[in-house]
Amino acid sequence: MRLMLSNTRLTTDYADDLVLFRSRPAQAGALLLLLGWLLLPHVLGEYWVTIFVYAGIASIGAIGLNLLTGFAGQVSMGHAVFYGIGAYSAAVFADRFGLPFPLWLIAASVTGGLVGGVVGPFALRLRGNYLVIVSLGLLVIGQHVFENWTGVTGGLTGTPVRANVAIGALDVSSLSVGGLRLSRNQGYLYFVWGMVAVLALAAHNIARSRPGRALQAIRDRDLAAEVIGVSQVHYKVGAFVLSSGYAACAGALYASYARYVSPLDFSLFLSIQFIAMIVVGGIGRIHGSILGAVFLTLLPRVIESVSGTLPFVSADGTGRGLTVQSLNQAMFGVLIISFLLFEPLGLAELWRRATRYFKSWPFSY
Amino acid sequence: MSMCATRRSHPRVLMFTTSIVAGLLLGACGGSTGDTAARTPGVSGDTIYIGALTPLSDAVAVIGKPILAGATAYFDRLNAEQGGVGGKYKVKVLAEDITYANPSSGAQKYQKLKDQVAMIGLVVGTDQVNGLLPLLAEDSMIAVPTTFDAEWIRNEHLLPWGSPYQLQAINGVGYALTDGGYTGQTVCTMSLATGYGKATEEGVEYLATSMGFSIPVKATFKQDDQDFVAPVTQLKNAGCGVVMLASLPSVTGKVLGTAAQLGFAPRWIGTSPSWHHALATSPITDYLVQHYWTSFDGPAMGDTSVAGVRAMRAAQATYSPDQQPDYYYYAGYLASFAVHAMLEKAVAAGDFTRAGLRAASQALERTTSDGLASEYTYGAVASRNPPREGTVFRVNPQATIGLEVEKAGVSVPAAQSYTFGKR
Repeated sequence: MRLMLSNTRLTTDYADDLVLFRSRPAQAGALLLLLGWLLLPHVLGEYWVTIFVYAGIASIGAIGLNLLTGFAGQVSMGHAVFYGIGAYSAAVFADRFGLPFPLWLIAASVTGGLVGGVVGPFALRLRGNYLVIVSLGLLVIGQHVFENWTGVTGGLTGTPVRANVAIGALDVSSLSVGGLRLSRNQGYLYFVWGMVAVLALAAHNIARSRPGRALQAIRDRDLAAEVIGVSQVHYKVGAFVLSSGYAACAGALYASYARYVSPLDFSLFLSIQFIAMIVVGGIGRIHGSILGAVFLTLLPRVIESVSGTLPFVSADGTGRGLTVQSLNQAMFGVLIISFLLFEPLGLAELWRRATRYFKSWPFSY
Repeated sequence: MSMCATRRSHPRVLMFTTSIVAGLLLGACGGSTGDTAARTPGVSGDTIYIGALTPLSDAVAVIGKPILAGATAYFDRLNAEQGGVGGKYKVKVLAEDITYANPSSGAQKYQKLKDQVAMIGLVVGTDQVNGLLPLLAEDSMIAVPTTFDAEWIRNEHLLPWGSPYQLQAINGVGYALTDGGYTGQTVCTMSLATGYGKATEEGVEYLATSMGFSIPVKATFKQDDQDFVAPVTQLKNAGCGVVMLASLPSVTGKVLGTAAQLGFAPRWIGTSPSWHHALATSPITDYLVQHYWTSFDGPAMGDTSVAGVRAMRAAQATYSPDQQPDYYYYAGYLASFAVHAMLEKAVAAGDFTRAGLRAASQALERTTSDGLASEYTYGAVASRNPPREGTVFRVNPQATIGLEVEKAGVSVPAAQSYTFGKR
């Protein structure tokens, strides 16, 4: 693999632009992330490991939505459906067809992508609010199918999923490194966040190469993009395929990890959560999707764990004051409003400002 | 597309990174996940901790909180009056708040509890239980579902209790069509779009096959629906004379209120979770008195001739005085009989390990619950047999929890022949 590191701080040719971690602090940050990835499963208890696994899965889904909404400018409320298609596809490909890993994961992602490709052409005729309404319709249709295609989805009772992440003797559920046996949750934490890294890198490269520039041109002014030779058919449909593929991949990982899925898992609220993740994290920023997903997945759990110390919260819902659930809901709303009002570019922009401040320190003014 | 930069390879950085990774992986050998076999999770000195996964702060908290209060009161009474399980081991309930409409929330909170508890004493939500099953199998943990899907009966990791939804539906509708005065009426269902709703529907479907009638409408709705005109109109247009309802307290009033407004007055028969005592004093009380029955196994909560009812009400007054008389309190209290009986077996065997508790769940013979429910036969998983009979209740605003007995000891033939197992 060609290395993505450089210690140059000056851009002298196009190849410099392609380097992912250019400055020493950026390289140190990457190393810290790697260390975090290695250490977290051993530092955190099983509960928080579980939460981070779900945060990783949500990150992949959020990256997919960010490619569609942040880069191509197509707002969709149907992301939960593609996530669900991925989950049920994993059950079908791994459980019924007996496909091994990684074939079931690829097949599930491709299935989601193909369905996304069918939906994509609607975006050629519809923009903005109209597209949002159509995607809502898609969500309702998807829910109906999940609830009633009993032979595949198990209907309202849902279906167990046996989709193991294992190649030969190497099984993520029972990893053993140097005599140390990792729990299933720890193995999944490594695997899921490894997937996040790979898929984020792929998305980042798509975003900064020709397809990414084409998507951004369509987002900014689709007619002008068409005039300069960017095919709307090609790129809008492509964006739907890609975004749905990411969502389906996330859904397949969710199904593999949770081992049981039901239509309740893929509700409108999940779609709203994905939108909130990219709004809070940063629209049009790949790492913003991850920041947003981690932030919004952890927030309710953190609020819950400190709720005992908050005088206006009743931890078990039996006393007076807000319940944890209502505080979480309120925080969810307040955060979205606050980010849209005060920092529309999200956590990613806050991070960029912070790093820029230190980059030029002590002349940060 | 270029995935990476094309130049400036840095072997030193690569070597450094590799050495860090290798060092960590090797260094982690002394990590935290090694030997746990010798310990008995959830048993500390003379205290046994049991877990509870129940909604405490969402819309279904109206069920989740009293269920927890019932279980807690049961064990508080046991600890105070009998010294605990086997006269020695105090039982403490550790509760975690879950979100009913998010099945993965139970699995997440399970991870928080699993190393602190000997067993999961209650789990609210059919979909939540489904989500837990693989984790229970992995950890050899026993859990008590506070939901009544018939599928639980044959699962070795679950300790079920109470009359399954399928049997509640069979006995309720079966009674209406025979002795209840609705012979020949069209039977329909209206169910929450969850596993719980599906389980209830299955009961009516089985009865339909057994008695030879068809079900023209199986309407469904969602927990957060606000408008029920469409499904109720569907039922009305089909001429449904008996409707089996699988709902939740937060929704039942809206469904029946819509029916009353539309002038639709079939014989409604609700499952146990569909009822809430507040409905008995609501604006639709008259409609409910005339058209609503509830079907589950057990006596009237106001029947103090039953020893179990007297003990339960005494426990409520002493250990949870803030708790209103409530079906869900009763359910949490009743579920604890099974937990208690199983723990007594474990104490007798002197084995609190997960394997020991699992053996205790199989060694359990039957529970009688001091008359709070019909006898439940346990033993090996394959021979478990829940109460086949049930009670049909009618609404009376003056009665405790708003329900009085319409017909006790209902047991239609289909309830006797219903078989339990995987779908």
